[in-house]
Amino acid sequence: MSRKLLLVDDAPIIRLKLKNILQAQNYEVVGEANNGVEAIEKYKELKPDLVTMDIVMPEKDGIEALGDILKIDSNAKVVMVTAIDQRDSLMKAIQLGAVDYIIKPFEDERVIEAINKAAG
Amino acid sequence: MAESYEMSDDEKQEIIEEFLAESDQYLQSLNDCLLKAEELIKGGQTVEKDDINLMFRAAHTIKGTASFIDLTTISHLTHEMETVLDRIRNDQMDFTVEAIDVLFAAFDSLSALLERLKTEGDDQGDVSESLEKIRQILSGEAPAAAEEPVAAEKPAEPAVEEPQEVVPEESEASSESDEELEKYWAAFIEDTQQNIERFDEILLNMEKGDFKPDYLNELFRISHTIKGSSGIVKRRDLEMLSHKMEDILSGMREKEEPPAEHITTLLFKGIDWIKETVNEIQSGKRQERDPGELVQEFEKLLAAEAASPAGASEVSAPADQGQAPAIDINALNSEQAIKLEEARGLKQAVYNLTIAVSEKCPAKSMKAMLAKERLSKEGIIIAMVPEETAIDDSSTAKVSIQFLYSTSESQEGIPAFVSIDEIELVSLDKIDMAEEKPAEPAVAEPKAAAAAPAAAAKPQAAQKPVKKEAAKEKQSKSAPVEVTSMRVDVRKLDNLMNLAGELVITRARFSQLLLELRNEVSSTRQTIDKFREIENSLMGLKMKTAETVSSAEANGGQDRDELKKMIETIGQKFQDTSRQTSTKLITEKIYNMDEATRNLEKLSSDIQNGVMQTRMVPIEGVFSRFKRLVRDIAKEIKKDVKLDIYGEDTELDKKITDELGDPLTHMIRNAVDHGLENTEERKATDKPQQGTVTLGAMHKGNNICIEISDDGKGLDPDKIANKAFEKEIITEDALEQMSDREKMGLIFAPGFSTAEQVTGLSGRGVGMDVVKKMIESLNGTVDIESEMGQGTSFKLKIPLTLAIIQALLVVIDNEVFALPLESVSEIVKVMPDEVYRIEGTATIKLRDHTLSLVELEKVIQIEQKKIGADDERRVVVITDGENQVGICVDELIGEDEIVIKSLPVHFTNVIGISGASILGDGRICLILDVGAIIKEAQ
Amino acid sequence: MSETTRLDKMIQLVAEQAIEKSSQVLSKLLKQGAKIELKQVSLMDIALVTEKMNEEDKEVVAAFIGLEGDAPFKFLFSVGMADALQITDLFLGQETGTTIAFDDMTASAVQEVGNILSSAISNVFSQDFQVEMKPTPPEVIQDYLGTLFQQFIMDLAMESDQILIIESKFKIVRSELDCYMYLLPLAGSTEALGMATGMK
Repeated sequence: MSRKLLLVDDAPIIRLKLKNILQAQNYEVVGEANNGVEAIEKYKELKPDLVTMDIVMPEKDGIEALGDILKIDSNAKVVMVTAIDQRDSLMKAIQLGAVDYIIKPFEDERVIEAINKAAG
Repeated sequence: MAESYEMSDDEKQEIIEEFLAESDQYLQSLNDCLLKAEELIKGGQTVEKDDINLMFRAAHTIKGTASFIDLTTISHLTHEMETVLDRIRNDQMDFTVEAIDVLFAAFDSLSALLERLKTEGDDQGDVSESLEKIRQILSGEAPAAAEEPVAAEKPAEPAVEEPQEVVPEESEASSESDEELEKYWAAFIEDTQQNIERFDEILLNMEKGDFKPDYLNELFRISHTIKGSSGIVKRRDLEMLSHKMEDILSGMREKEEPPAEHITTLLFKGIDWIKETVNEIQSGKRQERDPGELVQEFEKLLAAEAASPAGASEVSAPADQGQAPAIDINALNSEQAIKLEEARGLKQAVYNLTIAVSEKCPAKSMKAMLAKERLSKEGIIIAMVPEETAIDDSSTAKVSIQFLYSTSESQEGIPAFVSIDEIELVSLDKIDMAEEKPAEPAVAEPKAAAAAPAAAAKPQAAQKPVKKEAAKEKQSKSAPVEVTSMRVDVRKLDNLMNLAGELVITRARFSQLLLELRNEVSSTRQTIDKFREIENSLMGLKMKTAETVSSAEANGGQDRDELKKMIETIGQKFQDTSRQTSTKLITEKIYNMDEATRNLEKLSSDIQNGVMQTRMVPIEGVFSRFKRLVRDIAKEIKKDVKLDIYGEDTELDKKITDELGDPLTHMIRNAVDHGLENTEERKATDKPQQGTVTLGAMHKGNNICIEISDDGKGLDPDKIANKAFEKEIITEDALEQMSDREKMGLIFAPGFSTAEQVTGLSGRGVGMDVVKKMIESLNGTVDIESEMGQGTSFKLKIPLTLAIIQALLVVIDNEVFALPLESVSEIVKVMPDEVYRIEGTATIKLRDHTLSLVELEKVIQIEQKKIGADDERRVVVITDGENQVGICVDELIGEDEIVIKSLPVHFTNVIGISGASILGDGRICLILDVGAIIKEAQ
Repeated sequence: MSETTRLDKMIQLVAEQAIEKSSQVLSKLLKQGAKIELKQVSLMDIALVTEKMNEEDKEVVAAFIGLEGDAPFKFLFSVGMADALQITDLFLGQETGTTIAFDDMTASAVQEVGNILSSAISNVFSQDFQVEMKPTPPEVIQDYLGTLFQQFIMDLAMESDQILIIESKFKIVRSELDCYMYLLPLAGSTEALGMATGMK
């Protein structure tokens, strides 16, 4: 039974890249979102097993979206995928409840490992 | 063999202190059981198995700990005691009176050794007599005639020879030696098996990854011990192998890391070989075996170690940031200890969890933080080593992080919490919480200190019931560790007491300020009244002026108007001011302050009590020794005596209990020795053959009352008085004038008790006068009641709080003095014409008897207004329980609680003054010594 | 050292770090070495700048990003149309030549490169200089470089004739790609940086 993924990033090319990597690992991308607001909507709609979340996005950034999603579902598994490698942002995400983080630019392996480990 | 394994003196001291504390409890238990057993045996009954087992365990435990810290004399002695008890409990030996005596003798020797340990820090001593007695009884010989109680209460004589070896000297070829050797084999087998077990345990723990820095040291010590005992039983094979093991461990003792696998494997081999050998010995095969191969392997290892001091740990290419220093669950800081308690309170399991952050990871501390955060969400992190803030991101090595973690999740579910990219789970072990609280009385202080406040989260049994329970337990069971108690430095308690005292002073200050404020308010009221008066006068003036003005109207209308205006204005101003000046608000504030001050009073009183409570211990601690004392004395002088004790759980300040020991001992000795008649005399007077000494305690108000009574021959007042007369303590006149009671009181006179009736026991230079002084130094009193032919009773009354008393404050000669309220009988008003003079002493009539008035200036340096002046005087009647005198005072201030501050040293000889105190207004007041004043008056 | 020279030195330092980091990140992203062919901090005459840009007159795809925080900057990443196609392939790990027409994905590739570079620069500011800055979501525009650049410097141009520009050119060696990155400190930024570095 393949796990369902929601990919959130304002850059379609990142979503494409992640999709390519993860579909090869038997994950099913059931949805994509362009910004924080969409992310929450799609989450509610699709109830994915895992979410990848960018931070810098228009409308609503990834940290806020993370918080909102966890309010909806405290067991949500969200992996931050971001270019921001700064302590304050990452800490915030971690403290809110992100299960892991990947820093862009990323190696394929990191994505696979992080998602696999998060999926459990 | 008191070798110190590079322990610091402090560590050693600590261990010894713990050992002493622990052994104390066991000794207590042993003592009680032995006494109980003796009674039963004498009465032809059997001693319960449970009790025998208890005694066995007590001896066994003391032995274990003692041998662990190389107190060989103690461990040898207790081992022998243990052997005796073991035989008895296995029905291999009868529990006879002789056995009891032997055990008592050994017990006394043991006490002496422990005493020695306390004062000198070692256990040197000559216990050969006790050992001989034990040997005899074990071998079925008749006990030797000598029955001197070996125990001296002071440290034993300095060691006669080298500290004892495990085996006494006669192990050379003699017809007895084989038999003895058999006994020692048994001991050797048992001891060594215990050691082997522990050695195994440690190795297994290390193998599992649970490494404690002290393990290597322990393994070393065990090898050393096995080597030693093997040498004694002359097993060269065991000696040699354990020697090699000792050598290899010696070089590793200081390492903070577990040894490499090949070393652990070899150690396993070694201990297994030893195990096999000991098993063979146990099954009767006594032939020496050949450990040659193993010894060679160890030697090779030793050579290798010597060559590469880099040591045994695995080295990986980029230096590992190393094994995280292991978290020692017994050495947590207070924050961590609180968390551990939280976890315990939730009944969650505790785990040792180790993860490693990949060496390639660029921001390791961030990953560590992620792991920490995820774990925190599912449980409690008790400790984390290293903390994420301590991780060096720039390091290119793998970073290990160890957690002490508690969660309600099952062990299988925990790995999911750290399922993170670039993090791997290294190990996860459950910690057996029961194991982590062994019978070490020393729960590390900071941990315990933290546990106490944490206990607020989980209501713990209140102190009192636990204490009572423990007190009961003491009598019937071996004393286990009280989980709800903690050790506190006595100095800290003293400090608290001091602070509580200061609080009383501060509270008094507040009361004083409040009083002053009230006075201010009342004077303000007076001002307001004055204002009103002025207002009235002004009204009058106004009217008068109006009259005057109207008559002069024709002349100066303008002036008149102006004047009128002026008067109006002034009048108005006064009115306004007088209205504004209201004391309503201030009064309200004073009312509030009053309330607050009353709360403060209650609070300081509660704190005082609370602090007192912490220092309170049951008097049982003092009383318990007397059972043994009475038994010993009675036996010595061949009297049949029983000791009745009541009120053992009456509590009093620990300081007092320390002081009470000696005086009580003396009085009890007196009672048994002199108070009670011998059996013939008793028969002749139809008294029961067995004399009874009663020792009891109870609370009476703010005091503790202790009674020492006997049903003996009682005091003969005349005899005492005559003796006092002979010793020129009193004059013939006095002799005639004294009451019986007063005569009996003479036994407290200095110089009264001399060496006349000294038996080995009572005559130690501690006369009754010293006893009385001791009691008085505790602010207590001692009273005698006696009836000839019936018995004597001494009643001690000691205040529970040493430092705070209720007092009556008076003013004499413009100085404030305090009289302990206890000693104040009543206060009377006296008119000059009611004062008579009888034999030069001013006296008044107090109801149906006369009361002497003390001229205080005869006692202390003041100038008192002469009695006989015109106004009435206040007289305070003070009493010392027997006699009453009156003191004239100029003014009565009132009753108050005061803190006694002791006088500086050079003032302690001032007669009439027993202390000083600071009042609320900062003044110093001297506390009058009632006893001395009354004495002077006579 | 005069105040201005000190400030200059400091800007140079910051620029160095930013550009170095960008090159590393770019290399990692495209999985090909990105060589720094130009790195320059200069105070330029606006007129000259625009002239220069117009001369080149290339059609480029550019990502505009704002760096907001203690020391605000404007960031511009631009790459020629043809190169943009290659960048898309490199980004996706595809064989170069797969992307043949400029489409949404191409725009996204440029946008994301810009995002990653500007984030990397903000990381440098944060970690190395303790100046907190965060990038805004990128804006992608396709136009002539001259026009784009004018837009880039517009606000500052209104205030003075000269602007401070940090300029760099990266060559993706194996693919023979060129791309440009510009950093524009906004009003007060250099002072803020000065304070931050001065306090270091």
